[in-house]
Amino acid sequence: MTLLASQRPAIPRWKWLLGAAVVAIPLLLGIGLTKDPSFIPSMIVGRTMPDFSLEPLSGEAKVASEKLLGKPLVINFWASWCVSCREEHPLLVQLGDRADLFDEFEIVGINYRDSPVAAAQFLDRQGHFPYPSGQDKRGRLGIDFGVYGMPETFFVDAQGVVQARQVGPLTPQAIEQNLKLIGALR
Amino acid sequence: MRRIAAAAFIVLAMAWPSAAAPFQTEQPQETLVREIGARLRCPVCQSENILDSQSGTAREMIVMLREQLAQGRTEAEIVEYFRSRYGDYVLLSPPVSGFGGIIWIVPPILLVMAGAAYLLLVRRSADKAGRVAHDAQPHEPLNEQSLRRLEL
Repeated sequence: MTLLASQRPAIPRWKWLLGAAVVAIPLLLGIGLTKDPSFIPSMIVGRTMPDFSLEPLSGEAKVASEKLLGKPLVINFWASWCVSCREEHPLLVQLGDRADLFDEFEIVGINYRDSPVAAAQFLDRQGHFPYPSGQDKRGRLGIDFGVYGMPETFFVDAQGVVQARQVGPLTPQAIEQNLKLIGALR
Repeated sequence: MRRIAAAAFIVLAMAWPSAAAPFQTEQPQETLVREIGARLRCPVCQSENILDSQSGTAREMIVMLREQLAQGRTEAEIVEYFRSRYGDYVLLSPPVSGFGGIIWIVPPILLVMAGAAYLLLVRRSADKAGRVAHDAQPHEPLNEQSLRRLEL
């Protein structure tokens, strides 16, 4: 038996290579298939957030980045036409109350590519945010932030550097984790 | 004389349209807008450039493109503007430098490697065939002695 095994001719190296390729190529393609083709890696994380000064959805005072500096900041892009924004809505209202109560961070909304009327109807139905929202009617600020879907939330530290970005609805875990990241939890 | 005048008039009338300035239906910079727009990927679509896309974001990017061209920015500056926001993703063909370079460099390298491997295999099998042929050739013609030896 051992004699027979030793007699078997060695498999040539190119057959090994071919075999490896036959396994590796479908494997790599398979991994590629599980990825989300619409996902865009963020360019803004690790950078200073872009400045903005937007008309408010209601009230008089502009929603401006310079007023929000010096404290950790949560920026939430939302729209009345965005279905999954409804999902995260109660969490945002809670988060706004928390910002008011504990004064650990600021939070601001950006109403993205929306009409003020539709946005107001949305808020009447879903509940109003305890914080202001600025209007980004043409989506320019969204382009500055590299936004490609709604909702998106950015977590900015007290120095104005974007530390995290949440694409899609917020979750309690994501909120806690990212607030810690921007030093909003003591 | 009248006839000549009439003929001249007809000739002039026929020549007139071609003598007029060529039709101009768009600003000259629109060509550049289309060129750059075709290179940039719409971030909210899948594999569609911002020129073809009907999405609001793509429309707005085209507007920004026009504005920046009007401000005298160069193509490279404008592409970089969008790249700094959306990354290499926004370029429809990946950049030749950096990580994107791998995509450009690997296929030619693979092609050369495959060619080399093929040549090597062909040469090796040709060598083997040559050796067999060489071995098969008798060094000396068969004679009685060698036949004996074969028969044992």
